[in-house]
Amino acid sequence: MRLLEYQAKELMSKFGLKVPKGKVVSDYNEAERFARTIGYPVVLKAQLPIGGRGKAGLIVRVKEPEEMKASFEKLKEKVVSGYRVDKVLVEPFMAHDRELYISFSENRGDRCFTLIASSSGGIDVEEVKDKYLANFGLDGPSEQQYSKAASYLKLTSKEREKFLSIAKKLYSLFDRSEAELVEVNPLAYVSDSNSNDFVPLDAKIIIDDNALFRRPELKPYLATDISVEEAEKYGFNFVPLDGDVAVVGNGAGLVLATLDMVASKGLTPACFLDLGGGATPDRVLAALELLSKALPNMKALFINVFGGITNSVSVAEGFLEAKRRGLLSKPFFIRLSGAGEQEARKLLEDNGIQSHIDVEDALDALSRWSGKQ
Amino acid sequence: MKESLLASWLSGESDPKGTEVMVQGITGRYGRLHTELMLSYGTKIVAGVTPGKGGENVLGVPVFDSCEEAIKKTNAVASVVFVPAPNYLSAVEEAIRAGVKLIVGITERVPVRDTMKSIEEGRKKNADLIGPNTPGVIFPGKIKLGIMPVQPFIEGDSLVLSRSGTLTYEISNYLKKAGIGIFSAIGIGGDPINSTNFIEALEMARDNPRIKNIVIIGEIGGDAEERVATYITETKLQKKVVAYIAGRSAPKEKKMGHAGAIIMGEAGTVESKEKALNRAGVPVAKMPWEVPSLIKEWS
Repeated sequence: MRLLEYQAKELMSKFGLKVPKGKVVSDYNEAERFARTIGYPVVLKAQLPIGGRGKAGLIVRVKEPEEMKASFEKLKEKVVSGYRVDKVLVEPFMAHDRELYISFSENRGDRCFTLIASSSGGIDVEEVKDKYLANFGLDGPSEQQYSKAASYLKLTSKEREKFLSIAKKLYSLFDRSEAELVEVNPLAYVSDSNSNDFVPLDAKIIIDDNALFRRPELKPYLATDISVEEAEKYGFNFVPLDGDVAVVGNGAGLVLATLDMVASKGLTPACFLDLGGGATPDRVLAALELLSKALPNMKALFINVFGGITNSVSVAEGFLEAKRRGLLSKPFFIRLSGAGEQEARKLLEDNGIQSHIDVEDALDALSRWSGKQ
Repeated sequence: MKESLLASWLSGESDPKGTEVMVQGITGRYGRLHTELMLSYGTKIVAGVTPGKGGENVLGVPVFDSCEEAIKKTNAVASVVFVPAPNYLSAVEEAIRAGVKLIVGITERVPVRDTMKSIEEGRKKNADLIGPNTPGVIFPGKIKLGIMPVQPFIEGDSLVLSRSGTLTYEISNYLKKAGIGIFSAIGIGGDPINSTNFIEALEMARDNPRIKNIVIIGEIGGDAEERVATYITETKLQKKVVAYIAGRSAPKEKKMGHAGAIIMGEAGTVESKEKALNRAGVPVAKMPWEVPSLIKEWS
């Protein structure tokens, strides 16, 4: 689960970090009122769960009240990576002369965590050569690692103290929220009349979804995509995508491979839907119901089930029931293989549904259909 | 790798057939179903463990309250774990403490910190852990420790290492159709952190003369496949290695089913993995059904 920036900052503030005094709004009037109370210039930041927002024009500096309405409305019209701008974070513009980088992240390859610090904040850390990296385990970074990170950043003794305090608070958040990533980029050094401190100008937090059962305090941050929530109830893995062909199958790897197969025919997937273990008639039916509600614009359906332990016949029964209920109104292509595959194919055929045992045959049928479009 | 049970199986030093096995979480619906299927494959399940259900039996297998008790009364050295995610860490720790040497974690949705903790504990006691979020391990004709259907797996000389369950079944089925059998198929798990990773499994299997081909089934996310490429080059692995990687068309920054299947920025793309593997002399199939011909044409 990736938190939006304003949620990440809210969580940081709960862990004792000082964050810019911002407000998340949905409409212009609210934005304008808040901007007046904090004073111009302000920054408008579209709250989308994606990187590279600056380049995409999703972060806008507004110098004067006269520019506010146009800037706000232009921002609200943006659609980037399929996301519409709903919430906008309004923050005071904070003048600063230095930008640092700090993150704590899961290190998959080394099966540990990694602390990264750099004095080149504000840009993609992947592109930064000049950075301090330290791997650590479940007990957190050592005092020596924190200290080396600070030395690497060449801070004055006063700054150093502040940096260490922030780093430790961030780690505490990383640990206690069971995050996969806590990243502050940039961490700005702001020195003006009322403060002299490091301030996180942006914040990225990704929480380990699997740990949410014991972190109830983080549940409010869960994204509320209704179709995804409904899918969860059945134990499906559902990822809406922006193409035309809904892709359904059993097993995450197989569904992922099926997206590639569909894409190889020049078509674009409308979703990823993994039925999970045991593709029973009820689950097949529930999945088709979900799709008809969640993806009204899909043009076709491609189903790839490799029945191992589940009998293919019982999966076929799910389709028959779906057909009876009128859930198969779009062109659909079914591959059903595994135990009982011949019987399942015959059962479907007897009821006027064509299916395939070989996935390549099903793909060819899909491809022929798309050629006629 | 001293005393590693998995290493002795993969290296060919010992035969897994007849190994005594326990099932943790045997009284649950899922645990019971797969106990039955493993038994019918010939896996010698001698004990089940479910706290509070000691004294019962499941399909004739005695159930114990703890791993310690199970080990006292039987000779189980391996365990297949079906407990729910919140109990995974304590179940694995208990098995390690009791002296179990190989633990296969079928459990899905385990918090990554629990996986890391279980790896630490396993290392202390020289216990091999596989998973979590894995279909398990099969040595066709010898032993099945997991939930995979058995039809796709015929005995032979290939090692299949995979991050995905159904894709392993699918590709093994294509291998079967092409007359290529399997020495062992290991699901390393679909999570970001795998208790036994590709490299550790390769290290255990590399000197086994019975293994001629190695199939790596990867997917987007992380750098496990890139590390395989480096390992092959640096250690001059003398086996046919081919790969398939799922997720060529996947969008960035979206978790595609598996917790580990996510592209972050430029990291974890199929292109990056394919490039690294190709450089190490590993051909990468574009589609699952191309794997057998890559093995046959390998030079």
